[in-house]
Amino acid sequence: MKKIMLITAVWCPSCLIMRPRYQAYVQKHLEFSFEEVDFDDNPSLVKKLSVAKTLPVAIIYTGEREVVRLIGELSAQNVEEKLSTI
Amino acid sequence: MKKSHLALAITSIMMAATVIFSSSSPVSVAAAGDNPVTVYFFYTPGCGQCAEERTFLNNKIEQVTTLSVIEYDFSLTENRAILTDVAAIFEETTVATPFTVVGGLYYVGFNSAVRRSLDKTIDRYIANDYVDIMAKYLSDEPILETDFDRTRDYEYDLPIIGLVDVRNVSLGIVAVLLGFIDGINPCAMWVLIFLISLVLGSKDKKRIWLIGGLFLLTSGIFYFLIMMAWLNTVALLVAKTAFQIVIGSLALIAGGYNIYSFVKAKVKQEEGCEVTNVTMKQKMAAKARQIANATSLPLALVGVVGLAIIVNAVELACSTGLPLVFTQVLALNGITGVGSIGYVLLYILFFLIDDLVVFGIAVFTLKVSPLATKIGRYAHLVGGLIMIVIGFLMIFFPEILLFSFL
Repeated sequence: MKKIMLITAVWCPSCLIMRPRYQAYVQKHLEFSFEEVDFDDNPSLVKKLSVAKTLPVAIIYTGEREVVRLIGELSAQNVEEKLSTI
Repeated sequence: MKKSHLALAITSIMMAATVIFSSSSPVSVAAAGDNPVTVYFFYTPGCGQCAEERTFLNNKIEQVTTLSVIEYDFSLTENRAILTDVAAIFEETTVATPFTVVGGLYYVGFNSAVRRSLDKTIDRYIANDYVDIMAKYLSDEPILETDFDRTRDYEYDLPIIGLVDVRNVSLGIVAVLLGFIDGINPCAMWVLIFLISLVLGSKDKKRIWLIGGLFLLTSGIFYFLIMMAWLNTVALLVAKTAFQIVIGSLALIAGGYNIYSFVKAKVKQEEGCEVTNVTMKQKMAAKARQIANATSLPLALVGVVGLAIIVNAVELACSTGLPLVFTQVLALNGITGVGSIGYVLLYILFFLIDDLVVFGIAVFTLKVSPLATKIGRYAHLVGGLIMIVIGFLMIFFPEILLFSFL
């Protein structure tokens, strides 16, 4: 099972823009699940995941293993291309 | 709306505002007079452009009784020699027809732009004093550097708008340009976007308009008051060279930082939200949530006013570069007090335009447009470059920032 964990913050406009793009991707690719983590509400998890200086961060897991990390704003096409290789 | 259409719309608004503003700028209007004006027209028989210009000049003579035209047939050797001399006086290397000399100006060729400029020049000479360089040449009088009319150096023929003298609109253009770029600066925009995203959930368009509109109005008033206060301070110190150097240096630093931010995001390919001032952002977000969830509309509106003031005050340091530069430019030009209100309001109008666009799109589509964050990044680059140029001029060539008003 593959999973997209999206780390966002309410104060981040780029997160507002990227959320529907990842959700749309998951709806098209049913092998993916989607989980959103709030940056402000989960400081320990955010620290553990080493989320650095830019939001949103999409961490892609295959099973328990992190395979790709996408940072910041990307076009829907760019998301499609980067995730198609997984 | 396609990007090209949007760009065209924005450009048109900027140009229209510039022209509207130019009409209210402090341009001195000379009393209408009836000075005799002579146009020296070099032509070649059979030349199409020459024929067009002759038609224009004949029509103009019918309208203006004090206008006369002296024609020179370029196919005659003596006239070729005269034109060669005259072209050299104007440091013009193209000796071709039609070649027109009027007062301290000359034109090579004839097209719609030349027609408009020539028409305007004749009208201006009728009403104002000027030096007839050709007459001086013909009477062997020495021609002085001050005899040349430099007006055309400042004239640009813009599509739709027509002929524009940049000296009349330069400060207006600076206000429009800096205000627009400053408005795109994402410093305080995230709060508007967040607020919109919260109130969009209610689907109550009246509530959305009131909350978003009041946020923008309050931001505009706050910014206006800050800029006027700053301008009054700057006006007292502007004559001091050291102060100009300090402001110029600040502009260079702020400009450099903006370009650094743009390049960093591009190089790292991480174009998103920077995780900085998180505690402050969390507080603002909580406040915005309270407003969005408030059941009482009047209370929500009071909250919006407070939020707009707080967020603009907190983000002032982030977006202070361009307003600082603009008020300094106004002060350098001696535009202070009541005279500066128009320019500052023009700046604020364009400062708010991008917010209004983002807000308008959100209200009509009930979605936050990605345009907002995308153009914000380029604002770093353009704003940074402008600040560096103005900062450099302020330190080394402040006279260039002194726009003269006719």
